[in-house]
This record gives sequence, C-alpha cells and structure tokens, in this order.
Amino acid sequence: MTLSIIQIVVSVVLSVCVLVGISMMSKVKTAVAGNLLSALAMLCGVVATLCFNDILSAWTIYVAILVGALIGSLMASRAQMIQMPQMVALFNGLGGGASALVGVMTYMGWGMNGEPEYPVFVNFTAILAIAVGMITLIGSLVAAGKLARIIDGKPKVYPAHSAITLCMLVLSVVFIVLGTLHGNSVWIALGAFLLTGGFGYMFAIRVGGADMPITISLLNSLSGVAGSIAGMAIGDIFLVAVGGIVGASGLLLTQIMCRAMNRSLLSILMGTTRKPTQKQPDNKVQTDNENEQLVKRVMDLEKKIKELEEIVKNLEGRVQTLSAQLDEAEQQKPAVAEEAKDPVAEALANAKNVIIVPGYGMALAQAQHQVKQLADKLVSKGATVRYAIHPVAGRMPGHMNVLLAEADVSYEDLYEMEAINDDFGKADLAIVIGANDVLNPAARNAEGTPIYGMPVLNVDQAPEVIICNYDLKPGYAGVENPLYTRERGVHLELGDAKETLQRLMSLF
Amino acid sequence: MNPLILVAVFVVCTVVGYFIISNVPSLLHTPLMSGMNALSGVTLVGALASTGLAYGLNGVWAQVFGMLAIVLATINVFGGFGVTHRMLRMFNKKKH
Repeated sequence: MTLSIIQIVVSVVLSVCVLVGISMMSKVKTAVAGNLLSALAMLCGVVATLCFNDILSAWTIYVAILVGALIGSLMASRAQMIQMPQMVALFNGLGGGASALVGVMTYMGWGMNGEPEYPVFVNFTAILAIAVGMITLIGSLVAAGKLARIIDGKPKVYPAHSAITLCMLVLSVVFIVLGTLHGNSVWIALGAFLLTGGFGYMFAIRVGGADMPITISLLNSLSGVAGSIAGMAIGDIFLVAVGGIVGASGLLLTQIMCRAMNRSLLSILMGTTRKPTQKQPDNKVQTDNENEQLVKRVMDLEKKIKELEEIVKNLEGRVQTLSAQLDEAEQQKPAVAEEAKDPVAEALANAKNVIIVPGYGMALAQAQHQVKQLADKLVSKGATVRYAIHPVAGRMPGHMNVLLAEADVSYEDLYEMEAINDDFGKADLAIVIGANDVLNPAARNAEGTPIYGMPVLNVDQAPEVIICNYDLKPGYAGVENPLYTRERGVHLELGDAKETLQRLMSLF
Repeated sequence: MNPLILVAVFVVCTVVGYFIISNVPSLLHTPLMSGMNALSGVTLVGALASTGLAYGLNGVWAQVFGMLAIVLATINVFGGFGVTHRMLRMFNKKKH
C-alpha cells in the first residue's frame, strides 16, 4: 500500500514537472530549459517505472531501449530543418504505434499478474488504445510520406471514399465493443488492428498539402490521447497525465490553425472544400435561396464599395507622392541624364520600409540564408526590414520561423499576421519569396474558391511588390492570384529563389 | 488502480494542458509541437511496464511485441527531444 502511495506521489510530481516544462516552452528565453526539464521528467518516469514494477532484471528492455535510442538520436541529428514536418509526423506515428502495441499486450493479458480488478475497463481501454494508436500510426506515416514526397501530396479520393471510411469506422466501433466484452481474443485484436489502421489510411490520404499542418497537429494530439488511454489500460498515472496534456495541447494548436485558415476541422478531414467549386449553383437551390442571395449580394456590393473607396484613397495618396517624385525628378533631370533604370533595382534602392513575406517556396528552395543576406544588405542601406509570417505559411505551424531562425534572423523581426497586416500600406516595398495563397487577394472576394474567407497578408496594399516565385502557377489552393497581373508596382522574378535573390542583391 | 481515478487524472490534465498552451506565440509553434511530439513518446513507460511484467511469464510473442513497442517509443522520445532541442537552440543564438 505504501508503495502505491509513493508511486502516486512520484507520478504527480513528474507530471507537474512536465507541465512546468511545457509552459516554459512558451517563451523563447526559457524554451531550451523547458524542453530539457520535460525530457528529464520523462527519464525519471522511466526509472521510476522500472523500480516500482520491479522489472529491472528483464534484459530485453535494455536491448530495445538501446536500439531505439540509437535510431532516434541518429535521425534527430541528421534531420535537416526543411525535413522537420515529416520528421515530426514520423516520430509521432511511431509513438502512436507503440501505444497500439501496449494496447495489444494488455488486451492479450500479457504482463498481467492474475486477473485484473476491473476487466471490462481494462479490455475497453486496451482495445481503444489499439484503435487510436493505429489511426495515429498509419495516418502519420501517410502524412510523413506526403510531406517527404514519397507519395503524391495531392488529396487522393477513392471511389466511394466516404462510404468506405464510414464503414471502417462503424466496424471499428463494433470491434471495440466486442473487445470490451470478450478479452484475450487474437481475432478481435487483429480485426481492430487492421480496421483502425485502414481508417487512418483513408482519412490521411484524402488530406492535401496545404492542410498538412493541421493534420499533423491533430495526429500529434491523437498520439497523446493514445498514450493516455494505454496508460489507463495498464493503470499508470504518469502516462495518463502526460498523454492527456499532449492530447489537449495538440487539440488547441489544431484549433488555432483552423481559425487561421478559416476552415472547420471537419471540412479538412472530409477534404470537402479542397476542390474549387466555381461552377454554377443548382437551379433548385437558387430559387430556394433567392432572398438570401439578394441580401448577400447587397452586402457584397457594400463591401465592394468600401474596398473601392479605400483604393481611391490609396490612389490619391499615390498620385500625391508620384507628383512629388515627378517634381523632384524634374529638378534632378540634368544630373540623372538618360540612364534607364531597372524598376526593381530602383524599388530596392529607394525602399526604407521593407516587409518580407516568406512561404513554402522559400523552404523548398532552401533560400532562407539568401533572404537573410538580402535583408542585411537592405538594412545596411538604411532600410528597416520586417518579416510577415502567415500562420499557415509552410507545411507545419511556425515552419517559417524555424527556417528563418536557422538563417540567424532575429525572432524580434518576425511578425505575426495580425501585428503587421495594417503596415503593408505604409511600407515602401514588399518582397514575396515563394508564397502565393497566403497573400492572394482573391481570398477576400472570390466566393466559392477554397481560400475564400481565409485571412491573407495585405501584400497588395504595398506600393511596390517584388515576387520571387518559381512560376506563375496558382498555389496549392488552385486559385489564380490577381496580383500577378497587376499593372503597376508588381515585379515578378521567376525561377529558383536562391538564384533570384542573388540577382536582386547584385542590383543595388 | 481505480478507473475513476485514472479518468479524473485524464480530465484534469487535459484542462490544465489546454490552458497552459493557449498563450504560446505562433513563433514557437513548431518547437512546441515537436516537444509535445517527444512527450507523446511517454507511452514508453507503458511499454516498459508491460514488457517487463510479461518477462518470463508470457513467452516469446509478448517479448517480441513489447520490444517492438519499446523501440518505437524510444525512437519517438529520443528523436523528438533531440529535434526540439536543435530547433530551440537556433532561436537562442545570440544576436549581435
């Protein structure tokens, strides 16, 4: 009895350590220490488990730990920053797989001393751990494969996809119920194993590149939940606690990202709005909703008028600055003579207030160091340079921040969308590197497109915009970007971002 | 262990975890997520307990499954914490 009380106390203390570690990770200064604290708490948890269960003599444990530690450390030290999303997805999946295996063992009654006190609860949680763990494992592997481009990153929809997925889900539930009632059955365990794995595959294969950050975050949450449920099955408080913490925080991260993309979690999982639906609405629907549509139209028109007013205001401002510039130019005419200047070079040389917008393309081209060099050069010419980070730029949350940090960009220069979006109008120059959807003005008014309603960076308000994208193809969402065809102040620099940036640097 | 206690622990930790994360700046989302990811390898504790207790009691299959579970979870833990540490160190490079 005293042992179990000590066990509970130790578990609670370690869980609190993990919580403190996580909360320390919310500030840059304390984040490293927070991570180490969590790792230390985990190590103590492992040692405590070995002692409390009196299993120090089982040699198989140490062999397995050694192998895992070796592989894990190697992978961690070899991974490049660009590979982070798929690494996180892969690790995450393995954790889920481990939980599923723990579920299998508990369900089969392995490692149980005699009959469990609460057999129904143990059976239920064990089989549930198999289910959630397998969904996490297979889902994460698919996600990692998509991110690493081992399998096609586009959403894949099989014939009768929804029906099959639903069938698998229902059957999984049936197996969970069966497993709860009858413990220790190889067939039920196997059935649950395969069905939930299939479900994980079906749901992950349908999600496409742009929604990946959200999927990974969700899977991360799931792996925590899987661990927690496995902890319930074997009656380990520490495992239940930490799994619960991970599950909840993963869910919160998922929510934050969904909000940033203005999409519901369900629509992402169902892959519904991924295909652009620009076709005409059904006639039936039209007659039904005529009134509603009229109201909507009026509202849209009002919105448009407001936008136009703003544009006029902007134009007035620009006319003023232009006429001022003209005057100036006229005065300096003899000095400048007839040197025909590259408008891009001019924009770069004259910019005092620059905002850089990085996107996934920067990650692909590995151009973050060149971006930093360009920024340094701009700063040395007396400009202020800030970075505008869209919450879902890249393939996982905060992806851009990590890459820019790798290139030694100070995190104080990185601004979240809300903090900087009003400043684009005041900036002299916006430089876009490998980003498209996150700044596509079409998101504001192109109803029926996948990005409609997603908050975007107001790059279009900047007087001068340099876009360094690989090509002019629409971004992942498949919506044309009207910025590309804007007549004034937009300079397209196509090709590999690394080379383009080198060229830009040589211009001024 | 009484199921009610376990479920209660789960609920409490879920709520606390939810509130602790809600004020993390998006700057740190990637390291945070990978840190969480490392923590989800905590299932290692469960794998150890199951395997250890089954040792000498439940035969070869139990050990095979158990060792596999331990390997997977340990990769998760070491890989996760390692990657997170590397990322965070980059954020902390001294500015000049």
